[in-house]
Amino acid sequence: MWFFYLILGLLLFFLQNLLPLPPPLHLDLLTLLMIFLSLRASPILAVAMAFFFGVMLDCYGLAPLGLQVGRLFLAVLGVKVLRRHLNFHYIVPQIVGVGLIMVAQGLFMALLLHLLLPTPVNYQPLLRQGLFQLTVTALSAPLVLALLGLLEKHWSRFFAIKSSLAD
Amino acid sequence: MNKKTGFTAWRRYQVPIILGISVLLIFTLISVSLRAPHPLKPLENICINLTAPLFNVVHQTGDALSRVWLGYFYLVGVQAENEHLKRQLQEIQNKEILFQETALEKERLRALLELKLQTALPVTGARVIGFDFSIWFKCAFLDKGQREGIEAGMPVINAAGVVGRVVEVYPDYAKVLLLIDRSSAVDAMVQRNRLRGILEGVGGNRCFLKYVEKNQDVQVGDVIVASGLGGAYPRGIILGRVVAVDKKVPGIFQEVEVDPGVDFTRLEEVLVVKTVQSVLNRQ
Repeated sequence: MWFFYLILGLLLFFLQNLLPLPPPLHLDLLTLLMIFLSLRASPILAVAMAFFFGVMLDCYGLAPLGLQVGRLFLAVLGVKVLRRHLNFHYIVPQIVGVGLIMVAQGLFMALLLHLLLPTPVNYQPLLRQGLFQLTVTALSAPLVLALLGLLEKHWSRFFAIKSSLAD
Repeated sequence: MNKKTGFTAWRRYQVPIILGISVLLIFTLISVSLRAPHPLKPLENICINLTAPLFNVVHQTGDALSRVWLGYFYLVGVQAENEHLKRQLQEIQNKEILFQETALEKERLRALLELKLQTALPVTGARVIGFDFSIWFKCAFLDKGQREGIEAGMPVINAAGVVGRVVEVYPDYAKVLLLIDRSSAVDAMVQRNRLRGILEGVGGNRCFLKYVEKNQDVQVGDVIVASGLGGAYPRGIILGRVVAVDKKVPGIFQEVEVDPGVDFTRLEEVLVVKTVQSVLNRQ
């Protein structure tokens, strides 16, 4: 399935980077993919994908290499920690879980940018935009996760049919 | 038996091992990439050279499909006419602003030769193939790089005004820091009364003209242009329009909110301006 996740990730990466919605409507698709991966795939695969797409985000962005890797890795780690307390199969825990993970990601980024950037960060607009992004991403999480699950199901069904025909 | 014990141990310590290695790797990556010169630039080059052509293909396919959809199936004649009228209107607006700028410059007897040098600079057309439009950073990726003579520091513009400045160059691609990024700062002035300030991005879709004292005259609707100081942007080029002025904020400076002329969410084609410095360097 790693190939499916790679294609899916690239597709979401293209979507996020080619069709930028107006700033308040920014939806963090790759974080949602990492959450999906941590729920469905092995921890090694989830971490490997977080590294791959984190490096991609860092290369195409202005962040020092490793910053986005850390942010996506936090999403994987967040699911591992939260799934003991939250049942990610239901809508409300999904929204709460994604919200908590994004808060952790925001704190991680703010802390590192505060330490790494030579100019001071103006947190007021950042906080407003961050809260808006968190709300949009958390509220759309059940739909996006369900869509990803559906795609995964169709992909495995399609390849199961193909391999059985080959046999 | 040993194999089985090893497997059980791996199962038990899998998460802490992965966590430890990942954290170590992340912090190594960050600390190494902060060094100058950037030792991980080759890794970035490989990643970009492998994926950017894909970006380009997807972008062009998307463009072609949307053109087919909009041009043939959806409002055939109206769309073309609308585009034509919009372009005409934008050209007239730009001409008017340019006219005002030239008239003001003549009034103050600016050196004509300098003006000519600034406006007759060579440009290179480029296509935007990707964005980092996260809340943390604002940058765009162009499909032209060192091979087309693009250098770091060159300003990037389009018909509506300044887009940003090239910050990193690869053989076939370039990274542009957008005007709205929080680390962008441009020496700017109000076109009407030549009042100077620093135009800074705040990360949203707005900028702020900073360090303008409260007793200075700035009005909503004023056009903000580049002052040309510092050599980063050609003088007189449009940066945006004032949308709000707040003099009630604490401190000696007023808060001047500027709406950049450029719609950053719809950037497609841009021009990279080869600045005076880069032209002289080449000569």
